[in-house]
Amino acid sequence: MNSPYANLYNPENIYLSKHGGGAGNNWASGYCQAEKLYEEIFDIIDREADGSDSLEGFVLCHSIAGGTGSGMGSYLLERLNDRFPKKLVQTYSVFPNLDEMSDVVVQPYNSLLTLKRLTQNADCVVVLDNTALNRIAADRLHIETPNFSQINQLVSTVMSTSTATLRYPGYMNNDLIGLIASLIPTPRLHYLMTGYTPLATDMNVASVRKTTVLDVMRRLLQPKNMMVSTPVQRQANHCYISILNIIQGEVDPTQVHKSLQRIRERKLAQFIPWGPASIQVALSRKSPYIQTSHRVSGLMLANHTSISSLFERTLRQYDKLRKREAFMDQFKKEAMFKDNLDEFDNSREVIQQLVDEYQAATKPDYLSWGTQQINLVLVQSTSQANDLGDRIPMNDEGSIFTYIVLFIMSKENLYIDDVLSINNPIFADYLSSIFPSELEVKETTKTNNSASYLDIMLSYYTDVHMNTSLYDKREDFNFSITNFPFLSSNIASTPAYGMFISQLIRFARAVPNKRILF
Amino acid sequence: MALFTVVRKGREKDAAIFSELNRKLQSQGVLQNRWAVLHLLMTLSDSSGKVSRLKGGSSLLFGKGLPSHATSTPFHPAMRQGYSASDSMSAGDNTTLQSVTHSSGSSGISSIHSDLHSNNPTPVPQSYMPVTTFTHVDLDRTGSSSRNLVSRLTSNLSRNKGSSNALVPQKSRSVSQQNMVHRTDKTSFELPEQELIKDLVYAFQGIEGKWIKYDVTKEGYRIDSQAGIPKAVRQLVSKLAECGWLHNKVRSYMEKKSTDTTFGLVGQSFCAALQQELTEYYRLIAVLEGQIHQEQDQGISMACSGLTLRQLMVWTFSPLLHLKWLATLVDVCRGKKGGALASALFSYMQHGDPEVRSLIQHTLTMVCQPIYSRLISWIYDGELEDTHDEFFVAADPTVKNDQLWHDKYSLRKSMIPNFLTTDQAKRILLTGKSINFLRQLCQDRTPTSGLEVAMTLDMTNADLMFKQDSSSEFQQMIDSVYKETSRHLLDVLHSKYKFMEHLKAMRRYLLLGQGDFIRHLMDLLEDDLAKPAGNLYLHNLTGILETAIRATNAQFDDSDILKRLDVRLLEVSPGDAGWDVFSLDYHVDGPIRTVFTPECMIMYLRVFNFLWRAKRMEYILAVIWKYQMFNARLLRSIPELSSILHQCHMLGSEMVHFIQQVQYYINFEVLECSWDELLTKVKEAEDLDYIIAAHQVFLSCITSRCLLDEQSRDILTQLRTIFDLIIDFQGAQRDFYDEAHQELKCRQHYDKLQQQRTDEGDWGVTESHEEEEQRRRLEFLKNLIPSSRARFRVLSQSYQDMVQQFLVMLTTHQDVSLRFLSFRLDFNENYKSKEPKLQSPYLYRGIKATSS
Repeated sequence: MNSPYANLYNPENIYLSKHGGGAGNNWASGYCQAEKLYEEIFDIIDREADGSDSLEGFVLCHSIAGGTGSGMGSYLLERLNDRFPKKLVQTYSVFPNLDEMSDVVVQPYNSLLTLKRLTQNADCVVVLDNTALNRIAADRLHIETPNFSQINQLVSTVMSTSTATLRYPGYMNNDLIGLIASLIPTPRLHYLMTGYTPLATDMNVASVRKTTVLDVMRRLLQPKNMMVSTPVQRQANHCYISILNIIQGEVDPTQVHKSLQRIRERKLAQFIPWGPASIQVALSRKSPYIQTSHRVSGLMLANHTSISSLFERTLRQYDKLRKREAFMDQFKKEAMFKDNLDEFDNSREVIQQLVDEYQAATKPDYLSWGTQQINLVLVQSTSQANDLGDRIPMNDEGSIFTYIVLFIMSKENLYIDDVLSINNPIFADYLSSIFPSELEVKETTKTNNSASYLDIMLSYYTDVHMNTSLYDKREDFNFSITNFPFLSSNIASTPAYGMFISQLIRFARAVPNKRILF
Repeated sequence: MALFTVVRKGREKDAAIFSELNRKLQSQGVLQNRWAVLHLLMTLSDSSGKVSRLKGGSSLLFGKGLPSHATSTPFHPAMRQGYSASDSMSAGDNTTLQSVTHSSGSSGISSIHSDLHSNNPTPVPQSYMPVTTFTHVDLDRTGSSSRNLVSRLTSNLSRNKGSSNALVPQKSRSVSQQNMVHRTDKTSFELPEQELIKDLVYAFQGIEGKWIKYDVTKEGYRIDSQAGIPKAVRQLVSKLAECGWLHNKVRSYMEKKSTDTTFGLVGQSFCAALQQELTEYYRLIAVLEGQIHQEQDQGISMACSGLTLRQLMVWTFSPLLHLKWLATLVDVCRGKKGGALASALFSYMQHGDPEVRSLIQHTLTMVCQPIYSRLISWIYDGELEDTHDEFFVAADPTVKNDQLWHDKYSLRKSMIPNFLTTDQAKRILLTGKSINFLRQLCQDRTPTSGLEVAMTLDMTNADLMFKQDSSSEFQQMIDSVYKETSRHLLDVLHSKYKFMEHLKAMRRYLLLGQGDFIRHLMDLLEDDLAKPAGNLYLHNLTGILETAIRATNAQFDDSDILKRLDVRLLEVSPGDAGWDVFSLDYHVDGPIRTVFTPECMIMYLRVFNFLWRAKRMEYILAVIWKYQMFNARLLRSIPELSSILHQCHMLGSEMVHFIQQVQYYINFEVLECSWDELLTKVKEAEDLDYIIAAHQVFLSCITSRCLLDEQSRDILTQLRTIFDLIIDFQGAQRDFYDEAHQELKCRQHYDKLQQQRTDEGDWGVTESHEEEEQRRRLEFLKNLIPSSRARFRVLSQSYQDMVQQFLVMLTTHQDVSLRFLSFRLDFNENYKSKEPKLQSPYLYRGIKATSS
């Protein structure tokens, strides 16, 4: 309340703990205390919400390591979801500094429990990693021991820039949803990392640089400007799911396209393999009241799969502590954990799933992620089966597809003629239930990449596409065919007329292109 | 002709000697038969070979050279034919020769003139008084007389000796007129020269004399054929009488035109110029007459020193030339008026003869004065008093003030004097137009600076207009006035009519630049616009518009601008939803309407419609996304649905990406870039036309890049199809969520029931309950999952196909900026890997070829 900006806030809307204390770095304590303060806090929130003409969502700023920010923050997230299910919740979450030893020993517990809520109850989480912020302060700004206000300055820069397009509305990005909808493709992959350039604090404004759009956009893609510290993992090819650059300053709009072209040519950014993605650019006006020395500055909001390494790190630390059941007493004091520690296990599972999903998002088959069930396709004739080749996605290693083909002989009777199963090892178990016992099931497939199926030879080359061609039965005969005018001929000199015609009809049905026949 | 000139030039010395001799002979007075003496001398000195050569050249010349002068001389081939036919063969020869002398003489003399006057070129009309050109008169006299001697000589040579008698009567020059009349019957009788001269002077003024009558058939003055005059003299007289013919021609034109009220000021000043020339001519005649009278008064004693035909010939030589040129001008200008007349005159300005040039220049100056004065009053005052349609700026009085700038004033192409360039003419038009625009539409009466100066300017400055080769004064004047006026006009437009504010308002509202306002408006309108278009009421929508304005940053805008903002419903065709017909409108009036013409506004509305659709897609996708986020939380309790949810998310995110990129393209490549260009152009604009043109370019650029032009129709249709798919997806997803919610409610109900029963101390569920619940759940899954999956798969497949096709279409499009769009849409080459057509090297080569 002593800040020069104190007057910006309505004092009624500021809640201070009556006993002056916090949650004592205990998530459970914070969570439980928040439960008791629910009425008071939601009075404030309701009052503001009712006073809003068109409420779009909430922004929550907190840290996930301590007790209050994580515990109370988690509680608030859950309640906000209950109370305003259709409103957006965005958080700016500060992740703990892992380079130095923390005085909060239960930090992994707190983080894990909060992360679960962030994953399940928030729509967008902007990750502010204290590790990276300190590194940036030291490396980029050359401050040996950065204090709170210097770090906060970085954070406030990010926050103010990310809302600049909302505060100075233009043609695009003038609402929160529009801004983040393009960044977050699926509900759970909503952790965003930020980058800002050029960085300067009050200390060293002297280092004025003439910056261009390309400069800014290129630098934003450099890891050292990112405000999240993610270790470089060689084995996992992490990639950008989406990028939004908010550029401020004197920008020539024609430069934007050129910069994008340059970035693409040099392949400065690796994107997801399963869908369209690109660098989006928003030009924003600057506050006319604040003088900056830089011509162009930019903020990057990026959804990058390597953020999962943060969660993995949390999981590892948690596992270490949990194995020893260390510091559990404080948690068991609270009602929530009195009986069991299921909440921990549950949270761990959620975070593990999140990590898995991020991993999956680096692969092309993310498109069909989570769809592991049998596909039933009814094929009624050979010509329909013919189209199968185009419909079976052969490059989905992880997915299981089974195509059961029913061949209708007449209207009354349904026969299963041929069955095709791809990549489905458990299909054999079903076979007996599909086929009546009196029918014999013959396995015709000989090689791994070809099979005959309804008179069609299905074969696939290097997992791209399935190819269909006419299945010639003679190729599978276990004897050699000698045509008629020899003594050893095993083909009748004059095949029956009906047989000829029926074969012709089969051919005509099976061959996709009639020209092949003639 | 050249040959002859050389010959004659070579003989200049001889000519001088001849003149000397002639004067001596005259002064002697005793020798009566001077001509005979001269002839003799001439014969002696001249070789007959030259004469024959001369003849050969002359006929050639006659056929070629004369027709071009046909207008200035009554001799033309056809007439010559008649003439020679009627005369004897020798007479025909004579005529030929004479015309040769005349035509060659004109050039010969003029060359002497140029020698004499080259150091004194004056625009003031040449005085024809023989005094001023006395030296050359002498020369001329001898020259012409010598030539005439030649002619006579040939005639004499070709005739028998008896014809030499014809010269005899010259002795009886002093005999009284009665005698001459008395002797008219005789063929050998000759009129006294004095009489002829008198008649000739009459003929000069176009009056028929006693002997010289106007011959209608031959179109010229001819001596009465009854008069006994030698052929040579006859020829001489008829040649002299050409002056009369020319004079008549000029005067008749003048008289006809000066009474012609439709001829206009330019024509009148042309007549005045002609009149001035004629006055000079009359002065000469007066002098001649004076001399004749003097001669008569002095009586016979002085006869020998009196006026002779030869002298007359010499003295009228220069006037004849002038008259010929005047006659030429009269012919050239026949049927023309105003600027065209000035153009016709100007085409003679480049004449090599300084004499002619100064004549033309004088005339042109006179002719240009009215044009100049009109021009001055037009560019300084914007006044156009052109009752005779002479000026090159035309006003259409039927045009209303709305269209003043575009349609009211135009250039009258035929009336632009050709000494003004098209560019100048355009600037002049623009300057006056600007003044009128200011006066009539902007009610601005500030006088143009320099007006007073210009008004007091001497009108004789008119020659500045056609003397631009030598001085740039005129150009400077036009430029400065043009700049001044245009600047003033732009100032007024900017300051008083807030042109920039309106332009920005267009950008903010019709081109959706005011994002928060548009977004809020869409929020408010959503329900209304989902209705069929027929159920919309304008007053409702206007109310909503007001609300939207009040709630957003738009409220801080100028109230004048907000007042102009309105809702407009486009024409409803059956099946249209409100979304299809809704449009914002912006009322423009007054001077800015000149820039924002109704056609422009229609273009704005078309662009608005496109942007509005795109914006709506963005809006729909935002809603879709919001529902996805919210339902993902909600439906976590039904894990069976997770795969379908994921399918939705994937399709949704692809659509979001597509629309976002389209929007980025519209924002940067279309709006921002064009807007930037427009602003620079408006800033550097010097006149209104420039702004209008820039604005037009801006609009056409936007329309073509927004795929609204003809050649992009297919692409636009494709885009609309994609839009429709997005709307379909919204519907499909909504249906799916509705069913899922119902199921969720059932399950929650079941759980609640279970809870309730447990609380009551009963078993949680009975077996039958559980069985029923299981059956219901199975039923639900069996119904919902396959159908939803199929539906989304079909949607996804057709969407992908459409987008890929769209990309293929984009890459083959002519406009480079559209390739920016395809570049953006497929930044990570996701579609390229799927669509073989996008990979084909042929296609990319094609692109490179067209872009280079």
